[in-house]
Amino acid sequence: MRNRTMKMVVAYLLTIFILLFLNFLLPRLLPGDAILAMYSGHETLMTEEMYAELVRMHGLDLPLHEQFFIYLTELAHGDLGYSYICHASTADLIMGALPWTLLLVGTSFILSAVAGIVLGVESSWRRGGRFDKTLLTFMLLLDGIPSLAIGITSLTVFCLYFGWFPSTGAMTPYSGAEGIEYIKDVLWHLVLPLATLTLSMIPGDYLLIRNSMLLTIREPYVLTARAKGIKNRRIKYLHAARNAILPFATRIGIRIAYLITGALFIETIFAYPGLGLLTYHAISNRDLPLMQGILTVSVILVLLINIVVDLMYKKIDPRVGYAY
Amino acid sequence: MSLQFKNLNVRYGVSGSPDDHITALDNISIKINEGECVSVVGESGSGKSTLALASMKLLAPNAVMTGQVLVGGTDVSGLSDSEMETIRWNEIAIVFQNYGDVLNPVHRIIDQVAEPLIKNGESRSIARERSERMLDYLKIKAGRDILYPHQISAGERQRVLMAMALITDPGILVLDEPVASVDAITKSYLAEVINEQVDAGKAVLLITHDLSFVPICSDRCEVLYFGSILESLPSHELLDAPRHPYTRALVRSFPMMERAKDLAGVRGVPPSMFSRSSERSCCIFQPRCTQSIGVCSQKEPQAVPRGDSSVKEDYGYVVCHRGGIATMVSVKDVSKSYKDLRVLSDISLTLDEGEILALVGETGSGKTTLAYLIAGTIKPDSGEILFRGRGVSDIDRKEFAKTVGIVYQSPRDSISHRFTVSEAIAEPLHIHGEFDDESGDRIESALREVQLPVDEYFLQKYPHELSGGELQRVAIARALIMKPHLLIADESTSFLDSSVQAKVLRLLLDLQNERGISMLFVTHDIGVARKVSDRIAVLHGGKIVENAPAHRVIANPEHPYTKQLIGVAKGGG
Amino acid sequence: MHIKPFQEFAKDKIGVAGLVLILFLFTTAILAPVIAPHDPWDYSASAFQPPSREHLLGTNDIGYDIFSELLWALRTSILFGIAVATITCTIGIVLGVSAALIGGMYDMIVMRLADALLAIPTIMVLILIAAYFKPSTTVLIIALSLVLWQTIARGMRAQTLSLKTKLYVKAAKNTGAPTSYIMYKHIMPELFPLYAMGFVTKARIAVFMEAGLSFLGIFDPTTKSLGIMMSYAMRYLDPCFGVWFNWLLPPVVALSLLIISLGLISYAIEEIFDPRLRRNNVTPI
Repeated sequence: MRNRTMKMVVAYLLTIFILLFLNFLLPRLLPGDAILAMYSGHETLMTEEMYAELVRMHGLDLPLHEQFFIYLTELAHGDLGYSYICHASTADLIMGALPWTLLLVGTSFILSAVAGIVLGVESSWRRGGRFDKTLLTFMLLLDGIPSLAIGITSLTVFCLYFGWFPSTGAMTPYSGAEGIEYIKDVLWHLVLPLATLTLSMIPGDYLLIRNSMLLTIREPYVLTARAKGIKNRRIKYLHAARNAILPFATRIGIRIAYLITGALFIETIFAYPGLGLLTYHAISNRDLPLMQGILTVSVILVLLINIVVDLMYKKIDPRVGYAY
Repeated sequence: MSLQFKNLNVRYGVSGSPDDHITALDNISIKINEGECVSVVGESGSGKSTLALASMKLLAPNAVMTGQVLVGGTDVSGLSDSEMETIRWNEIAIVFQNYGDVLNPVHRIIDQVAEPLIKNGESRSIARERSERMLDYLKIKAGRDILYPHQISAGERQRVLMAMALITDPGILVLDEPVASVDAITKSYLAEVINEQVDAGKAVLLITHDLSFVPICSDRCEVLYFGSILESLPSHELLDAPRHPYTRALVRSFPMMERAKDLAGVRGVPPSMFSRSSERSCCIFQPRCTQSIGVCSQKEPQAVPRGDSSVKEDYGYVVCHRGGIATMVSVKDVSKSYKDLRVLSDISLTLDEGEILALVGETGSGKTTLAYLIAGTIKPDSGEILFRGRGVSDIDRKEFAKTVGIVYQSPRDSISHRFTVSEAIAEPLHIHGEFDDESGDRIESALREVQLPVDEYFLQKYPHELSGGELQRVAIARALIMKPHLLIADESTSFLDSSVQAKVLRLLLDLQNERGISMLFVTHDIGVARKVSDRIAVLHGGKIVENAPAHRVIANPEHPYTKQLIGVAKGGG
Repeated sequence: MHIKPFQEFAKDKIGVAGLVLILFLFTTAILAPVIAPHDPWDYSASAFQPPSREHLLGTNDIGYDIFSELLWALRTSILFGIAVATITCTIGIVLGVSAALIGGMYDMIVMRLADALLAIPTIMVLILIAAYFKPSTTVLIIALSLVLWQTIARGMRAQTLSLKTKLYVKAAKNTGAPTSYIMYKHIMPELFPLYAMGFVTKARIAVFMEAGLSFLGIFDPTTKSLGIMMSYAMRYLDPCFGVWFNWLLPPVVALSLLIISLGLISYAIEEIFDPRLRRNNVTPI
């Protein structure tokens, strides 16, 4: 048990180290001028004073360890830097976008997990049957269509061609709607991005659960349950699926990281004002501090989810952490 | 409630095998009444577990089942899964082999025990309370019932499985290797529980490879080989009086506390699942059998009743063309005198096919005389000796000599000092006019069988150049070169020092087991007899005073003389 | 059970379908310079030409031939996928196998590093790196490989560890076989399924990443890429304009086909090599 905890802690520390390396050290290790590298593309706009101020702002005139100390202090205070392009604090920009991404990613995770589990369980239970074969083929094909493609297609068809759904934003601007109307409006804008993201995640969850179930179904305890005359549905879910979701649970962290990647494209396509769209803008404008901030936040997000999953895993699988 | 299998066949569809299926059970009929326990024994792959699964209709999807499985009179073979749900565990419950995750690793054991009750509509609290009591009955300590399966010991898991099966008080209990993974203490406790359940009126199907467990718990025993029942016998006869060569071979393979004879194993290898076609035209055990005759490879055998037909009691049946283990030699009321000295008086004795019989007695007890009477070299004064049903005196001497190989007491005397090794072994071939171009190979293979070198140098050695042990091996090779059916070893090892004796004994036993021949082992040493024989006959003063399975003779000698022999052998007085 | 992988694969309909598809796409991509009717870097007609015999998919906003662009973009995708998969698998094998063989602190560090990479969204790292360095394809290939190796290494390590305990490996060792012999004769062949599986999976991710990153505008815009095509086509996405049919749809379909074919192959490989997933091994007890 202690060994496991220690492994986790070491991995978390390494994650943070990689993050610091990417955000702090790499730009400073770059050959040539760090400022010019970080703000490349905007050199023409840069005046002497701006350059000097940037050097001072970033503390680049200080020794490396002092720079690092300042960086850490700022980070601890939730200061993720300042975006000169947007003229706003990076943290504020991110906090404005984060709720939308959380709404999109969270809902999508739950929906795709439920759909993936139910479909995977039912499909494996009928292995080789028509339902299984059809669903498997469909999922294998759907799995091949990248979220990018699904997004573009549904945008074209449902927003532009039929005009059923709004093509941009997370709510109607200046509508002043409140209460139920507001929620309806938000959901209305959420439908397509959510459907696209969920659709792109379901095949992965489905295939994972199906494979895991195929192995679980052969376990002796399933036979035991059958012998006990337990109802089919109870065997399927309480005995087999209960064990089959264990590999899925260990991969929640990875799935979330996938989802964030997917959200990046989906938000860009549907101009949904989450972290993804913010990233897209940062890329277009070469807004480096903003990119760093987004990376920091998304890594911390995934890390937190991983910690929660790790802590909860013991509850799901009683064998973990038991010394034989 | 009774459990009955009627002409049950199970085949598994397996691609790649001939006919794309393999037969797991072939025409099985077993009836288990209320308050009766029937055990099923057999090697792995014999279809024991398939039988257990078939009883609850739990076979894998690729299995095809025909015939009937009657659970309390209802034929379940045609029922659907949902119809089975009400029968399973309420009328028939199973204790699976405690192997791998037979209990669900993510649920507490008490919940798994209580699950069938809750399914039956019992309230959660009552189900829990009853489960607690049941676990308590099986001596799972209080407080341990809320643990998970991986947190308890293998012995406890087995008891949890038993508790789970008993919780709904089903009329039929199927036990699949219930004691395979438990310690001796738990085993005896489980035997107690099983017997209590049988006494309470349950029908119990006990599947086990633990032969010593069979007589403790069950009334009847079915011997399953490769999907067929070869013998059905009262459990108390399993260890002492098996009637089928396969049953005997199984018993010989099983380590028992009382028995000293080395374990032998069933000769040959079990047939491959894939080798068997659905059409059977021979006895399936024939390739491994010690007594197969022509008809065995031509026709499928039928069941014949075991034991005396005069006895009314049902002693089961045996599926064998020869009616079970056949008698090879039967000696009836034989007497023999040398002049005035009466050496043997009214001796009756039998020697079965594939059996090792030790004739034990002191010098002058008549044991050697009896051996040569059986070999046909001397004639009895009165009485008769039958070899495979024919009078020994009626059989052509020379023909009979081929059937019986003899290894004598002193190899130095029994092999001419003028013969080389090669010539000595070839002698019977010359004698029977069978010496030809292939004899060289026969001699070499005989030498290999007795673990002697086969190079030209060794073949040309003379007896005086060989050690006693080597020479006795040459004698054995000579005795076996005609492929006899009966080997008589007349004090064959008594001249050898114990280290060499051990090796020669080992060799004789291996040869006997692999060739499946019968052996008459004549010795004055009851210690040696107990190590090598299935049965011991003790000769004293020209009479047989003891004749029983070896382990019985050693454990419970009846005659004072036998007791004395054993006492002396043990170093007492 | 010994498996004849190629025969098994030939029997697997899903796998064969994937293989046929990928071979088709692969051949097209390799032959792009030959097949492409026009130079995709030069305008060949006026802008927004509808599909015609001369221009199978019409022309784009600056008069480039879309069909030729598509072929070259497919070529970029496939080459990118192969490059990333090769480097990633090499890193994964070297780290995984060496971790298993060396063990100790080295093993600990490599595996924790692998764990740590799990929590880092790959695409964000690439975006950041692309922002630091000038967007060069080579750099991105290396950067992507550096963050994708962890699942491969993990699998390789587990497999090598289990092989190390196999009796025939011990027997070879006891007979005096040098480590190089054991690696070559016993370990590497057993790792092949994992390698094949890993290669396809990573190629799949890489193809997706290439399209995605170029869609976001990370790549050099003069490169021919499916993502860039989509991103430009999106700008003229208007139902009245109608370019989505001949400009947007082709790269979307091409990308999907490419990823589908890789997915089918990886599914087939998994079914063949995981003995527990095989259908026919229902053991009659």
